[in-house]
Amino acid sequence: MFEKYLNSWSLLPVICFIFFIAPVVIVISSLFGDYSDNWSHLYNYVLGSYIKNSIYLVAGVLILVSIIGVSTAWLVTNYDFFCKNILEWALILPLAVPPYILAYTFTGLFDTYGTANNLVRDIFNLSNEFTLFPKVRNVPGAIIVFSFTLYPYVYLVSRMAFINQSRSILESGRTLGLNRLEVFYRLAVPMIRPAVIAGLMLVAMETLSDFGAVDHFAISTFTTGIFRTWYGMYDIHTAKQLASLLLIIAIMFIIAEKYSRKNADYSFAGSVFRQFDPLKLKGYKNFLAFLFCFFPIFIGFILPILELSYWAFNYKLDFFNERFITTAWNSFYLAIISAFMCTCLAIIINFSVRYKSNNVLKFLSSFLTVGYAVPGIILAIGVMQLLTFLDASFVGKYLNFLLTGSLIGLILAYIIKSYALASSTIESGYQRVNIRLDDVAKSLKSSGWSLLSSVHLPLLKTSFLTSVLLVVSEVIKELPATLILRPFNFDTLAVYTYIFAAEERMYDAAAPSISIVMIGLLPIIILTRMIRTSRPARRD
Amino acid sequence: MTILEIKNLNHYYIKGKPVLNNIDIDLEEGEILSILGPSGCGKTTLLRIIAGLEKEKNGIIQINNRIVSDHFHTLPTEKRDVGLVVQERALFPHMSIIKNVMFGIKFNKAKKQEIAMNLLRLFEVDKYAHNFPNEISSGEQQRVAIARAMAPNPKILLMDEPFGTLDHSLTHQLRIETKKVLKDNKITAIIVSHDFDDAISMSDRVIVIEEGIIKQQGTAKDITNIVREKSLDFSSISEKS
Amino acid sequence: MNIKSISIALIFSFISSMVFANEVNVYTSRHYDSDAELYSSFTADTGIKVNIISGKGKALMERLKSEGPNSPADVFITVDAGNLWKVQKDGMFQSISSSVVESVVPTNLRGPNDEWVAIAKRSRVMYYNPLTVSADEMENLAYEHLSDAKWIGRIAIRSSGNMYNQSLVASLISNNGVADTEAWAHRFVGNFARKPEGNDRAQIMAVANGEADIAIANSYYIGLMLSGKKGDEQRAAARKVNLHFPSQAGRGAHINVSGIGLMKNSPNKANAIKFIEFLLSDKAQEHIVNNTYEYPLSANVAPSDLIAQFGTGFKEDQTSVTDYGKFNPEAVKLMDRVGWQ
Repeated sequence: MFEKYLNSWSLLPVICFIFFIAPVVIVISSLFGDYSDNWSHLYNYVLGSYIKNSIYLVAGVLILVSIIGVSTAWLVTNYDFFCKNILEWALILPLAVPPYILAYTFTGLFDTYGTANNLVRDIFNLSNEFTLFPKVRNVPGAIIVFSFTLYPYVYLVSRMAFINQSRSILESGRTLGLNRLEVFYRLAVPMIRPAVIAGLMLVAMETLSDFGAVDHFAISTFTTGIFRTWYGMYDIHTAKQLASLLLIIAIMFIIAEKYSRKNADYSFAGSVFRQFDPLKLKGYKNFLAFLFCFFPIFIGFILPILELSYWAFNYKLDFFNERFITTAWNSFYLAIISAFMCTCLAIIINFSVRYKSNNVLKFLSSFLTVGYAVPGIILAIGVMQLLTFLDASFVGKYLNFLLTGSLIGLILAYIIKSYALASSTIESGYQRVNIRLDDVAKSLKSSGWSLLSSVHLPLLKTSFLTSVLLVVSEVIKELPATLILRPFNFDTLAVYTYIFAAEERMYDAAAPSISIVMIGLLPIIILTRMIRTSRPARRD
Repeated sequence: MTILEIKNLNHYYIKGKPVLNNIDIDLEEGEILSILGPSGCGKTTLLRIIAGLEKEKNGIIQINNRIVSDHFHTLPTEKRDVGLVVQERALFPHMSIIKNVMFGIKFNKAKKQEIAMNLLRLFEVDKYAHNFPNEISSGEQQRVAIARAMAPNPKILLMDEPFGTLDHSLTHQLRIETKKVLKDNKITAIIVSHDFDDAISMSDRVIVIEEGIIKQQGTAKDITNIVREKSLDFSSISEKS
Repeated sequence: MNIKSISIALIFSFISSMVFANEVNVYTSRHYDSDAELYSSFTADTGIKVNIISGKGKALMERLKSEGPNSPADVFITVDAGNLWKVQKDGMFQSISSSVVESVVPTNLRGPNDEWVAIAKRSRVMYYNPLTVSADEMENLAYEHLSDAKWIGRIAIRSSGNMYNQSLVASLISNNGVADTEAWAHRFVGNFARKPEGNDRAQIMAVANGEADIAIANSYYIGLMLSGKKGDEQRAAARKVNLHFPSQAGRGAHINVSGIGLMKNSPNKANAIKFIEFLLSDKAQEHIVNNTYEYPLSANVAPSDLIAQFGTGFKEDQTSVTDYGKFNPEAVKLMDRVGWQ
């Protein structure tokens, strides 16, 4: 019996894993091919600005996202203020808004003749040349767009970490002479650093891999460079090599992050909690705290919804027909299936790493994690090549159907693309499960599946649901891989939006965009409910 | 000189169910006071109120002849000059041992290091200065926690069940060590405990609190005698939480 | 969650890719609502079901390539001649033998062996503000003239990432050579009124709003804007500008196509040819010109009035559209070198 588990828990995850990393490896393998003349062109003229812009963009986004995500999380866990209970969950709403949709909204609002500038001109009766708002189609504009749609990743992990933070440590800080603000930035924040960094990694990877928003703003980043090389120079091989560079940078970051916290065990001393009541804020502080938490929700969620609704109601309402229901259903069930599969994969892998100290798997898993940093379409090509290989070698011959053009490819791409989200959530969940529990469980003759299902899974319930939530909202927004891998006559909401938005037909794109947000909202609301009720009661 | 003066302190979470009732305490410089009582008697709350981590419903607290809390105003924890040691030790997990101890000291870096090293040496944990808290035993962690609390040279050291989670022989040894350090350095301290031995062996004076009311007070010797004379049943007091 | 319906949907989608019925499988990078109407009218006429996958041209091409002989695709539709050239060069098309094609489509708008044919035309034209640009200035104005110093700070055009611009520059390279085109592009970029932003419609809006005096954009945009489908604001803006066909004294206005190619491994070849012929029929052409405001291929069909009012007898550049594909990579690099964002 024991032998069987030993084998299955060490070997099986590795085998199933190879299947999942194959597409990533296919992309990276381009590095071992020839290097075309286009490289000298890239190097001489554009690579520098691609790298420069990407660095500015990512750095700016990371700074802004840390500020927004961490401080709002701190406010809602430690203070009581106007509407706090609503803001606490509303702060994750921007997750439902893809960056490219916020980018479209921004240009629609703040371009010289956008809604906002027109409104100002109308109200104050100003001349046509007057523009109040600064231009947004630039790096700072993109930083704002990414930050206000991606900060929830940092907010979620920070909030969870703050909730689990030992109160007595923070109180010790007070007795050692720190005021509340100092406790925040000298103790509370450094102590949750690993969680914040994990969140920031996700943000950085998503920012790097995004094409829609930066393309709309016409900023040359590494990703737009990849597409320019492919679409414009017809050189997909060099494009893949560029993408591989991106991947390798991401892998290096992930490995560096894993080793950076080797020494200090941050989960230490977090076992005894003392719930202390959030401090009630009064007067202007109450208002400021409200404003500070409301602002990101306003920019990242309310503003795009308002603008999109304005467009939708003015121009196109015939969208909500039978076809819409099919499309929405497609988006919805694909997202749910992928999210469950992705989360289960993350649990199995993390369990195997923990249970069997499977270091091979631990190393390999960083390769799957970087799937998140690959532009979706490049990843999709890797998936397609894997599927056509499988089709040609045996599936097509013996099973009488093709994997290419089936939903399997799509789901595979979604899983690889969002594995980082699931894995980081499950990993941080596991960090809070005391390893002693495993020892006790083993002594009680619970091992393998039984350990996983009767001990770990109940304890990981919150993480499980959070992971499903994150992957669902990611998959619903996912576009490039969907476009290229989908079966005939198969539409998702993101495809709908794209079809119009690619032509900048924003009025037509408005209705499907709102639906993406709304459908994305549904699981967010349901799952936050479940997460809230599933949180174990803490002792005094 | 009186270091701590508490007058007529009252506290409750739910009206009509007092947690602390008309508490008066005076504490002289260099004195070590034990507050003894069963769990839930309000002793930890009292400590947290002294530290400023909770605000009492009414009463006056003076530290070093300065009112730190009364009806009109209350000084935040960080301005009260108190040190706190808790049962769970609460070391900063992301800092090395020496960094933990240096944390509260307000001098230049070299001086900070010197003070911290001296304290670590005092508690015989100096060889772990550059380790992280998770790398040392719980007894060593508790020593570091006390050293950290003493480092900024607070007016009072507040200790909440400092040896609560340690094993018996270790507790015994640590009591002797700690008392020696406190006495040698003339440190004023309050030790909150549910353990009779803790209270008697560590302190000059003992206060017994039950249901938020001071039931007994006197020197350690007095209390021991009272216990003997009245055959007070301390089993209820010593009952483990 | 209804697990049953999910599994049915899943199974159905697995099977559907293998069902061989009376159908034609279309990969298209055109995604207009009106195209869907067009396809259902084909199904109504012939009983042949049209299965669609739409996506970005290059991505679909990669899918075609990767699927290889297993590909279910019968035809590939795209809006840029360069893409058609590339698929043809990769040997993934086969010749379309159809008398309809021969009679309707001129040879410069077909593949060398009729591997693909144009189904609609568009021209890349100039839009100007008649209040700030005189008729004299516009007389016989060619693309090449826009490098003149007098246009400094007056030109609006979208970014070089756009394939229409890439095709335009490729056609200039094909006619004038790399060196001349690069010298031209260098000065041309210096004349921009603003950093390239937005799509073609945004360029026309910029002229209407006075941000620029002259813009380069595709011909059908003005039709869309004037139709009022995009709102009153755009219609009002479109009425403020004039359309100019460039290079009328020279090669003629730059022409690009929406085109369709027949896949080499087309599983439903007969249906595919019917489909291609349908798209070139007067009925389909009529539908296209009145919905997308492109120019028709069929001589029997007139462009939409909204477009025709600017003139129909303009001189078209006869440069073979396959050159756009051939010179596209060079065009992109050239634009990188001159700093056209």
